[in-house]
Amino acid sequence: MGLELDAVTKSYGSVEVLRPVTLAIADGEFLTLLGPSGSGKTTILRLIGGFTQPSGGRIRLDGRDLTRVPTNRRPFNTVFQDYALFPHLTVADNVGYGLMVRRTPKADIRRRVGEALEMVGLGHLPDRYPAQLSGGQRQRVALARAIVCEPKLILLDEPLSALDAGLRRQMQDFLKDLQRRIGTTFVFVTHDQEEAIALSDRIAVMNTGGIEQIGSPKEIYYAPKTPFVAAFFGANNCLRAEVTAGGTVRMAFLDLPVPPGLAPAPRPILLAIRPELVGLAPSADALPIPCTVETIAFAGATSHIALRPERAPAERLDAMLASARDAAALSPGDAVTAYVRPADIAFVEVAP
Amino acid sequence: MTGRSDVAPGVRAIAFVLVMAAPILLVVVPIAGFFLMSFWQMEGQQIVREPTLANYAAFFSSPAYWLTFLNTLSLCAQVTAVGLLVGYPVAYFLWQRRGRLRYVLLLLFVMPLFMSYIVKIYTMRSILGLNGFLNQALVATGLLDAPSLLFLYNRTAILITMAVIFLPFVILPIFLSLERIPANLIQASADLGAGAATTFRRVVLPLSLPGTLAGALFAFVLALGDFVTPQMVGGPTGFTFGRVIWSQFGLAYNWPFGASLGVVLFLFALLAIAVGGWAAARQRV
Repeated sequence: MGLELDAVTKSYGSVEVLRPVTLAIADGEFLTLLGPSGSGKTTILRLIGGFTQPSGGRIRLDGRDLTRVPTNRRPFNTVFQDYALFPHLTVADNVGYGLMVRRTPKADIRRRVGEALEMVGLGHLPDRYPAQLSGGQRQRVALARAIVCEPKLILLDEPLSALDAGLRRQMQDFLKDLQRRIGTTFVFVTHDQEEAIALSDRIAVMNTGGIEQIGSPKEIYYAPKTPFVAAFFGANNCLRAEVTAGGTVRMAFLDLPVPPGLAPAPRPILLAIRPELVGLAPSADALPIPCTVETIAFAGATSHIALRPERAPAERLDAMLASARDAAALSPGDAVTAYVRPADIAFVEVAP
Repeated sequence: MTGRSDVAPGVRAIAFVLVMAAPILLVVVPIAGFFLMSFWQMEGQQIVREPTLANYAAFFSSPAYWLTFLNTLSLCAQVTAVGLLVGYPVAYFLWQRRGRLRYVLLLLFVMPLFMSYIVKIYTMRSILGLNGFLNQALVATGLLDAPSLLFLYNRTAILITMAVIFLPFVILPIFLSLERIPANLIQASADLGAGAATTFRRVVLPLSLPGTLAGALFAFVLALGDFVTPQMVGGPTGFTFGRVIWSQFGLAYNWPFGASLGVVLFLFALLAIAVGGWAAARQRV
């Protein structure tokens, strides 16, 4: 059953910050709300947590209406962006706060707090105060505090954004592992695409107060459904094209037959091609595109090559190649042939 | 290259002396002067500048003085208690308001700080007097049959007046400490299942304790040093230690004895501040 949002909206006065959102989150799922700031992702989290009231729609948990239930009676716990640890309480008292509030016997509190701290690797620091901890340790205390009450759902509001890159990677692995071990539903908010891809079972990409697309990381990455999603992940090739009456998809430097599953009605359309799927080596089913190399940007393991198709020099096609092998022999001005497999092209409908 | 190391030590010493000159001249020197004077003695109309503990001995050996002192401490404690009982709820109420209203109301509550102290005492006198607003209101509502003399020229009058006049000093630090509590701590408490009462007791109250202690200290120390209010509304029974000191300077012309009483008062005020500071430091906020 899990958690359902049914046409939930939020407005402040005449400003609509969340268009009607309908979303079902399954038990045990790791769902990420991904989007730029102002896209409404934190608003959804706050509505689920009960920190703000929706302007319309219903929130249900296992069929039970939660819309008007106050925060303290919802079986959810939150990991706040800046952790929100109580500065006047020790690590153990912070973690045990929710149990203390529920009048759990003292011995049980001590045991469960100990277990939760062990689980996040802080079993040795129960008597420290938050001010005496590092950022990563505070993060773990906040996690322990959220899991110790065994909630139905844990809400995480950009919990890793305050950590430096190395620690962040480490905490990502830890979070994913923790979620697998305890089996609790995680709803995770972030603006970081890589983080979302690395952690999630499903990603809901948000933009301007609505969900653009929801699906597995691979679906979102390789088969974007809207121009925003196509452009949101990295330096994707987003190429303007047209479905013609003659049954082809025509763009400036390439004509393709309309693939099965795509409506044949004439209309403008967007083609999205991942730069790492643009190759310079011929293969049987790939379409050759004669190009000129414009720039080569070295980015460590890979290099980003900007190509100009000879048939349409105003257009641009980006390729991402292994620096050491494929990109090593290239220099700007070279004439090359790029190869794209039709199966690697995502056809993105453009809103009329 | 830091700017500090470029400056010659001599220049820094001179700058330090210049910066410290005002507080030393205006605060430390006068207090030290009185401290010194408290060890001298009057003989006839002359001050004899020979160190002696006679003034302190006189204070501790005569119950009239130290009983007045203890009585004053208890009065100040009551002023503090009334100030907190009224001030905390007011500060909490202000804190709960949203947007501009919060600061408009706060400004109204601390407005009396911009008024003359003497004007406020006269205002309180007219409110507490036989024909004052308080008596009129009590008679009009039928709580009293006739206007009462109980509210002016006695100890209660001092208590009421001081509590009212020092109220802004209590409200302000409490409000500021409440305002420093991050909103997400309140949300975290609710998120972990706490109702409003538990959140107040476990989060808001402990985190606002430093401000509350500061407000209490303000009320206590200001009440301890105030001799004008007791003089104006205290009447014959409201005799406080401040008035005793004042009379040593203004009536008896026994400055050394007055100075020694002043030192006793000063040390107690310091003690109160030290205890308050220690208690505030124990809160990790």
